[in-house]
Amino acid sequence: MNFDLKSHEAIQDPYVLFAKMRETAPVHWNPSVKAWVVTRHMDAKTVLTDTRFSVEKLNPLVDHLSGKSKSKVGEIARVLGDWMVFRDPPSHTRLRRVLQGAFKPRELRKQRRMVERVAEELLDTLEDRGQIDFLHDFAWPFPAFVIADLMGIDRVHVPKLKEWAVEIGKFVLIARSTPDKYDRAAKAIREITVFYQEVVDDHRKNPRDDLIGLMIRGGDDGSDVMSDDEIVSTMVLMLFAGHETTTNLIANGMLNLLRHPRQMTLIGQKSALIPLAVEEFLRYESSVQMVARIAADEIELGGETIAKGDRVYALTAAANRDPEYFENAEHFNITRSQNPHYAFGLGIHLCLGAPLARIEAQVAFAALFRRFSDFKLETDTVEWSDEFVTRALKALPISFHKRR
Amino acid sequence: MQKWVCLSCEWVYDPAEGCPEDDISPGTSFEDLPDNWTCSECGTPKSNFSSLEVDQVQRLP
Repeated sequence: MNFDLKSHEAIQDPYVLFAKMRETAPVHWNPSVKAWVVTRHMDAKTVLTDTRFSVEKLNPLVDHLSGKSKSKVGEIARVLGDWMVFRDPPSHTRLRRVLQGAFKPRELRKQRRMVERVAEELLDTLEDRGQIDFLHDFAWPFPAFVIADLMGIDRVHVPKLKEWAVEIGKFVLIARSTPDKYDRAAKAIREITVFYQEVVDDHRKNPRDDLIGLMIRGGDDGSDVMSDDEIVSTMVLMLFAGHETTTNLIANGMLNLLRHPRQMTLIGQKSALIPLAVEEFLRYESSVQMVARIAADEIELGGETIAKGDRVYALTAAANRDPEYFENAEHFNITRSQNPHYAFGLGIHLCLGAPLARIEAQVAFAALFRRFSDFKLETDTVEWSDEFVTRALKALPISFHKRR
Repeated sequence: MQKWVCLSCEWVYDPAEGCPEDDISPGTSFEDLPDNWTCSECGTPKSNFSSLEVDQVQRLP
């Protein structure tokens, strides 16, 4: 059976296709993406946690290409290859350990006031407008300002950083209809590397107590030394991973509340439900829809034999609707309490920023419902971007009333 | 005492150890943790934990 993951229908609503794949071919070679596709919760867990599924996939990609594409991707891979998400242990362990303490829930609780302040400042600028593009006016700048503040980067640079992140995203997130994505990503990588190196140089001259300062010191106890290349690369990753995914979490959450008026009423009346609701936003319309791995060995999975070197895509967004693990899996229910979703992955590569993303989304919706009411979707159709890895809206026009 | 596992990241809360990072003393049962307590590793809500049987503990990595 042919499951075309690149079709317009799959981009606009992948969940019908995901259900068919789970039921009829839970592990299969998919020609449309040239990878093994894994859709059931139990098999996705194996891909996420079995160390035979390697994350070091950039070099095999470079080897697979030829001509100009090979040199362009090689250029990108030299920078992105230092991302901890593309490293297996032991180098992954060292890079992650530097930042791990700063992203623990206990440490991030200290930043909650700052996150609340950013949300309130943004909503101050929007409250009298009554009608906004929720994606671009709030869901985008809010996490961007938070991560810039945490990193110690002036917010004035955020729009330029966004442009670079979008270009790099065409490569990392597997844009399905951007033929020059390698050129665009390579150019952005060159420019952002120069910018971030200047930021690192400035931090070395004027030490500060922020995330860049923490990396320069080599972690809390100074034992995990990072090269400048690794620091710059990690900064690109933090902006990238710590921003767009949270934008999409907040925007997708708002969209689903708008599409489910009873749930919208419920959360508006009972703010204590917000932490549970955020978990349901993560499960039901995951910002990150899949994780990619390379089989480091021949592996049996779901009755299929995956050859060494093959690409494997665990569609975590499909696993998150597996009826074997979720009651009424296709239903959006913000009161769901047992929610073993894989929106942040699992195992050693579990999203480092998960606690921050949760705080940001909880703060955002608490502030929105405290200040505004009568949210309405101001369009009949919503358009999704063509990126395979993320679930990202192109825009989200809404209206609302200011509470008196 | 009963151990509990986080359904989001599989971190295990062991009442015998408590959670010093969150100022939770050893001997604190899961039920006695504050309602707004979150997973010490990933920040998921307390309600997203499941009680863990002894054999499950042994099977976890």
